[in-house]
Amino acid sequence: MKLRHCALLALLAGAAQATEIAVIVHPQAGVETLSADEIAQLFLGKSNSFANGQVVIPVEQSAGPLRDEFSTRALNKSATAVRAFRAKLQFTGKAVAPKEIGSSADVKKFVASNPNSIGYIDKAAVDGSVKAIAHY
Amino acid sequence: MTRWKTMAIVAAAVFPGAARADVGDLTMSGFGTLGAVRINTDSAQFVRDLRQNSGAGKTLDFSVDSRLALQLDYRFDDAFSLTIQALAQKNRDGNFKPELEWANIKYRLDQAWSFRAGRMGTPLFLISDSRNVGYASPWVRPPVDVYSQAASSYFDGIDANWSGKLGGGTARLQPYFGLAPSRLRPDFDVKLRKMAGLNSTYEYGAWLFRAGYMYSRLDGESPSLDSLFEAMRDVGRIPGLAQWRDAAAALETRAKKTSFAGVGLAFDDDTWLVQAEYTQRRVESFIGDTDGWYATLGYRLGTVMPYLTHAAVQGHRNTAADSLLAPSPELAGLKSIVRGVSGAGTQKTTGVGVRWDVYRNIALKAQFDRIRTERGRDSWMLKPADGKSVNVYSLAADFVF
Repeated sequence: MKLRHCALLALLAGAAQATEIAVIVHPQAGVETLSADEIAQLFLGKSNSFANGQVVIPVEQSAGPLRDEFSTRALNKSATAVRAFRAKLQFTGKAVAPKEIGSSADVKKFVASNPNSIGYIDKAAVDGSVKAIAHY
Repeated sequence: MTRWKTMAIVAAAVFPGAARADVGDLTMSGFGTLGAVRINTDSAQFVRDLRQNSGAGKTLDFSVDSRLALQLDYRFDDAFSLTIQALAQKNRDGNFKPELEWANIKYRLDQAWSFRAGRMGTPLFLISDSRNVGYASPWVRPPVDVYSQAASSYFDGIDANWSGKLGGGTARLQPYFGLAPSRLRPDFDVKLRKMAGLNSTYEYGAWLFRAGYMYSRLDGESPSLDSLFEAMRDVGRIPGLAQWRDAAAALETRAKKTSFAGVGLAFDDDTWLVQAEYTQRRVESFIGDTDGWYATLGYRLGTVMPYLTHAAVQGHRNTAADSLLAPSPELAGLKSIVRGVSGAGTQKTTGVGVRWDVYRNIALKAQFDRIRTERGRDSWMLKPADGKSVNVYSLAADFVF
């Protein structure tokens, strides 16, 4: 029984990794879509505003598989490379590294209550409180 | 220290956004290095830059590379933010008293323009902003041959930052103006006054190009050097030896023109890392002109990155004292002392190392450097190595939090 339970968890974990990642903003952010390049620029601190000039604060998931997946798929860098890159920006006063908010549920909650934020969550967690503008 | 504290309090009072203090506005972070270094001889001492008055010999030294910094970033609102960074590293007095590296208020006008006032990094190099952050670079320390040319890493003043899209890449321009104080060994206080410079970068995909120029007036103060120049002026009063006075004027460090120019490029596609810089320091005094360059090649194998660096600095001697008349043994002795302090050293460094990202915010590094000095001209180390090669063995753990 216990063994079967573990196997099921392993399957679920495998399935979660294959799950799509949704990039989310506040429903009233005034943004319909962002290009892959724009998203990467925001999360790498190379830009800090939407095309309409609105300042935007990216929020980061805690260390884990979803964050690693987002790093490789959306930012084209390993999670380690992203951290080194951000350290460079952070300690040179160029940009503040995104806040680590927590899991998909925490990120969703934060984005739902902050109109100028952007985050990414497990696509399965998306609901009416946020707007998905890109998928990976 | 208190001046900046006052400034922060005033800033907090002026900008009411501060009182709101939303969660998410204040960020506290830091970085540090625990470094151990030793060399293969006791006839020289290895130092990281011209500030350190004692360095590593044959016994393992933990003070040359170790450092710890704390940074506070505070966002008042969409326009104003404050950055304060205190850094503890070995200073001229041999202790680790923290110093303010950064303390500035930034005003963001729009997507293209922002302005800062306060203390910030002097953008003389490709990585001058992050030169203290070991975690952000491949090496144990920025190449000494190049980065020691300017020991000070910050200035007090103002700057403007412009960025915009250009031909598929991002261009940045940063004009700045201010004053850069630094305390060099053994008792030399240097101020770069009315420092004006322009830093420009262009980022295109994995490529980064950088060019910068700085011009300032240098004022140096050193009790021991001042007495040397005073002695030269005294000799200059002797009939027929007025040239000594002229030589003193040429070598001393009062109101001397200084410039620093550099170009650099970096390529980083997460597999290959290529980084190279060429720099020129020009100082009208005994300090001397220098030309420095380095090139680094790295290759990432997962969390491990071996790298190779070659660096060199060519010092040019100020020859003002070479043809001085010295009709007595005493004057000949003084002349050789004067010639001894003139000009920066020439050396070449070849290094190999490996960086291992062992944990999500910790990198371990091991590096071996072989420094070849030119005889009698090795001002980049403490105690002359007299033209011998010196092996430098370094280990470092860099972390960010």
